[in-house]
This record gives sequence, C-alpha cells and structure tokens, in this order.
Amino acid sequence: MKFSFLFLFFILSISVCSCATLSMSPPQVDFQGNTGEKICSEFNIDVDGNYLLLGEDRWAIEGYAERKLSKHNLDSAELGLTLFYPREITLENKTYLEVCIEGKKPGNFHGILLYGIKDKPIKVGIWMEVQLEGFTLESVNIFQEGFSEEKKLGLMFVPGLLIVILLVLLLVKRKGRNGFGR
Amino acid sequence: MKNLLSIFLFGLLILGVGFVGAEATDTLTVKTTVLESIVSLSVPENILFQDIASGYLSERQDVEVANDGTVDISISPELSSGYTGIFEDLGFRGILTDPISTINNFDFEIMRPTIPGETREDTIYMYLNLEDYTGNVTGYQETQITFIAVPL
Repeated sequence: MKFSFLFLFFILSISVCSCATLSMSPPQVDFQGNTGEKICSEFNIDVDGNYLLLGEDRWAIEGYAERKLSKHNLDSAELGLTLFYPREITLENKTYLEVCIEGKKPGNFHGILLYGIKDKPIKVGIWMEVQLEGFTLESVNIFQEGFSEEKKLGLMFVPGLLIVILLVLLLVKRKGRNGFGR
Repeated sequence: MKNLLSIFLFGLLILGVGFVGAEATDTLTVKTTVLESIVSLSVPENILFQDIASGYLSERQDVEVANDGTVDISISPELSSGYTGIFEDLGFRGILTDPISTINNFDFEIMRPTIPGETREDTIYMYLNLEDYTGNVTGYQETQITFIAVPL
C-alpha cells in the first residue's frame, strides 16, 4: 500500500518537473504620446527558478488592432518604432521590467512583446497598443543624417537654374531697352 | 401588574440589545485581494515519436498544456526560425474529430481557470505526418518547437 503511494508520488513529481512555466502581466500595455517622445510602461515577468530569458517584439501593419499572433510579423523598425527593453535578462522569480517606445510617425500601432526561456519550449507575450500624435520626423532626420550626394546635386541645381533664368531675363530686358532707344 | 412590568423590562432589554447590535454592524469592513491579470503557460519539454518511415503517419502524442494565469489565452506552436526538415510536417489536432493541421496553421485556446490561482489543463494531439514526405532523410532527428501564449 505504502509502496503504491510512493510510486504515485514519484510519477506525479516527474510530470510536474518536466514542465516549463512562465508568466507575464499585465496582458496589455498602452503607450500614448507624441512622435519623438520616449514613452514607457512597466510589466512583470514571473519564472520558477533562475533562467536566462530572451525578449523579442513583433508588429502588425499600421491600423491593425486584432489580437492575432500570425498577423504580427513585422519588425518595429519597419514602422519607424524604436523599442527599449532587455533583450536578454537572467531572472529569478517575479521581476518588474520597463519597456519604452519612441516613434517617428504618427499613427496607431499594435504589437506583442514576447519573452521566452532559453532552451525551453515556451514563450509568453503581452500586447502593446501605441497611439502616436504629431508630425512625421523624417524631415528632421534629413538634417541629422546629412545630405546624400543626389540631394546635394539637386539642391545646387535648382538655385543655379534660377540664377541662369534671371540672367537671361535681364539680358532680354537690356536688349529690349537698347532696341527701343534706337 | 408585576407581569406587565416584567414584559416591559424584557422588551426594553431586547430593544437595547438590538440597538447595540445595530451600532456594531453600522460599519462593515469588506476586504479582498485583487490578483494581477496574468498570462501564464506550462508545457512539457520533450515529445518523443516512435520510429517512423516515409509514407506513414506517426502514433498520436498527447500534449498536456496548462493555463496557469487569470486570462483566456491563445497558443500557437512555432518551429525554430529557419528550420527545414521532416518536422515541418508536424501536425496538430485540438479535438480528435478535427482534421490534422500543419504546425504553421494551428492555434488553440485555453480559457482561464474557473478559480483564480488554479490551473486549467487541455490536451492537444500531435502527429508527425510523413504520408506525403518525398525527402530521403533517415536516422535520428530532433528540433525545437516553441509554444507561444498570448492573451485573447
């Protein structure tokens, strides 16, 4: 009888130990702000034991807001979003972490922040909803990144062309005056 | 007369007790602890298929998956990125009467546990479907798949 109970306990212990468990909270974090602004939010991860966790984010096309993982296959950079969160972190038990977002374009964006345990078959995610207002910051980037050779040529060509047209008009006007004088 | 007086005094006593009782229940303290909404998942770490050959469907493997959180979740299995090989033909069923779906087209849902803090388990059925496999891979094979849980 005792042996049967011990055997049952052993079998149950094995089935419990062979599982990987990971938790995240809250189920969704919201970010509201302006383009160029760094907006942050807090979340927590709970893991049984001391593990290396790997983080990643995936995004849907702009305006898509359904909670369907298969539709979230874009990189944040494709939407002009920059994310700041620990890509690799060693954790033990429950830990509060911070995720921050900075966007270049206004709009509504929907993404998922996923964490998985290294070498374990498990990932858990929380949704991210981003609402950005303001102006597209590409014009700022032109000055920050400098002008390309093509842009430099274009910028030199337009004023040069205007000067040539002005000179031609002045010559025509002078000739016209001379013509009337005769 | 004595009886009347006794009844009067007894009534007064009852009223007094009632009044005191009313005063005691005037402020009722209500307490609870609201747990965080948690997305949580438990999955087994190994699945072993018996020996198999091209043209066959493997034996069914039952995979126990548990929702340990407090929200409904959707779970999608995913092969490690860039993998090509026989495990692309992994098949799944949520219900035994359903047709087998390939790993890329399968997801299933587990509702939250009935009581917070408890676990709701579900079983999915996993196959290695080499019925239409035309490659010539032989020998021991293994790969990593990941179960991804997201809130519904």
